[in-house]
Amino acid sequence: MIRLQRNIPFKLPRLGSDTFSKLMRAKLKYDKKNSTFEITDDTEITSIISILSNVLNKEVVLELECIICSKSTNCAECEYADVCDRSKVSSYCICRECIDNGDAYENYKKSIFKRLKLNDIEG
Amino acid sequence: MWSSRYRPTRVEEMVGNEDARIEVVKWLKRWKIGMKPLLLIGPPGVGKTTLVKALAIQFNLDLIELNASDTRSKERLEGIIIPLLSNKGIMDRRVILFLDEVDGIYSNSDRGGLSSLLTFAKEPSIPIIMAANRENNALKELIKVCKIVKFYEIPPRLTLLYLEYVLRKENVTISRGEEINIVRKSGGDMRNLLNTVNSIIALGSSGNEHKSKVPLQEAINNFFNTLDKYSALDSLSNAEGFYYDPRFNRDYEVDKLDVLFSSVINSTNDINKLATILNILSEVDIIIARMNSSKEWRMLRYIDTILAYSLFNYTRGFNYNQYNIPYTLANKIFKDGRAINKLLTELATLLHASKRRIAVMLPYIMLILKDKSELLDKIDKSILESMNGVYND
Repeated sequence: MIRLQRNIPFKLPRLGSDTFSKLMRAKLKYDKKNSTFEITDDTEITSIISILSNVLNKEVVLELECIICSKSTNCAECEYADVCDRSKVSSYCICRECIDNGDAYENYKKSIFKRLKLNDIEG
Repeated sequence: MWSSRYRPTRVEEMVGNEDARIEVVKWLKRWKIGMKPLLLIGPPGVGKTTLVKALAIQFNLDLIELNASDTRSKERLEGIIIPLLSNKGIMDRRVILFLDEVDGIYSNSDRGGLSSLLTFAKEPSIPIIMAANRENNALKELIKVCKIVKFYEIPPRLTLLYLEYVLRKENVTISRGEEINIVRKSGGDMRNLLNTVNSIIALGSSGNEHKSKVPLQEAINNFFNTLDKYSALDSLSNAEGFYYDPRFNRDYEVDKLDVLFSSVINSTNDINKLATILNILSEVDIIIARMNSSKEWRMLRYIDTILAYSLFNYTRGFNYNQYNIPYTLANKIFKDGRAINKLLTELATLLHASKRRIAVMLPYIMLILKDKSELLDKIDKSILESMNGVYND
């Protein structure tokens, strides 16, 4: 299984020019310098998953990242896996460990506050 | 309503769309004259408006907001925006202009609004943020002059996180199964989620008391058979069901107005009484449509009262019915349906075609046979009997 995450660069083996142009048409970002690909807001995620699973002959899944611990949220085991369309939801979620670990909402707020860097605008 | 009471007032209190929030905060921190306006695009209930309101509080800005219920014609926009170009708000504070639901700015009442908006968007001297539910052709020109920030549905686990926070704040508990059910049905729409849980927990005398909804059939029968208007109103307002509101996906519920209609038309043969009741229902239907088109959703709370009081005198002794056609007509449709189905089955076997195809051709076959009586001798008698049943009726 290949796990992909939004906005996190990943490498692919050489897939040939046809597949490469298909991936580019589906708006997968390519960084020529580092030879990495990245799923961005414009990427047609469903197309990318279908192209890659066909070419690589492996299951390709989009995983969300835990906003608190930055690990993968292991979406396959989530109780909402059947109703959560990962190509339509925002890229961060929360993993089971972080939910069970103390006040998850407070931890979530702290984590997002750090990322937002709002300290400097408030007195 | 909980969706207003628990609307986050700080950016970090929101859940979901973290990348989008970070991008918008960065944009506002770095904002200087001439920078492209922001266009937030995403489904309803994911925090576009909440984010802008929270930013205005945290960045200490005067928020000037124009939403779809305001007229956004050229004159009106210029009347608001030109004075703001001096970048001075009330008490000399900085201002931010927020235009919500710009994908609906193309109605007749907003004539010329888009072109003036495009002019201001090209060289803005104040921060302008716009929001739309979806990208469409009409937004093409606007997209060219704006920085786009996409919003997505909120992942279920994060909506659950916020739901649990709200329930803790309200000191209310609901079962784990109910929580999961609400989250699953919310579809990543936080407003929908909070309104749903708010309506489930209809507060009684104590904060933790559930006033559960009465099944529709039972409630409507109670409504028709109570002896006073107050009990009738109570039955109607506690009935499982809703009045049309486009903000929510309510596939799993029934429209109360539909049920009243189907029950009424099957409960009386008195034409005058029926005409009066149907007039009342149609007027209420128009009122609901107007509340929705003007986005005055809070007014929907009065519909139960309007219906209970205006229908009370005419509907005593009526019964619940779910079928929206009268029995006499339903019987004929049922009888014809059976005859047609039998005919289709036999013709399909005879002509080696599907029933669906025969159904399309049936009127033509009937017409051909009408003028070709010699053909009738060659056709199986049972088919002809079925045909006569349909044809004569």
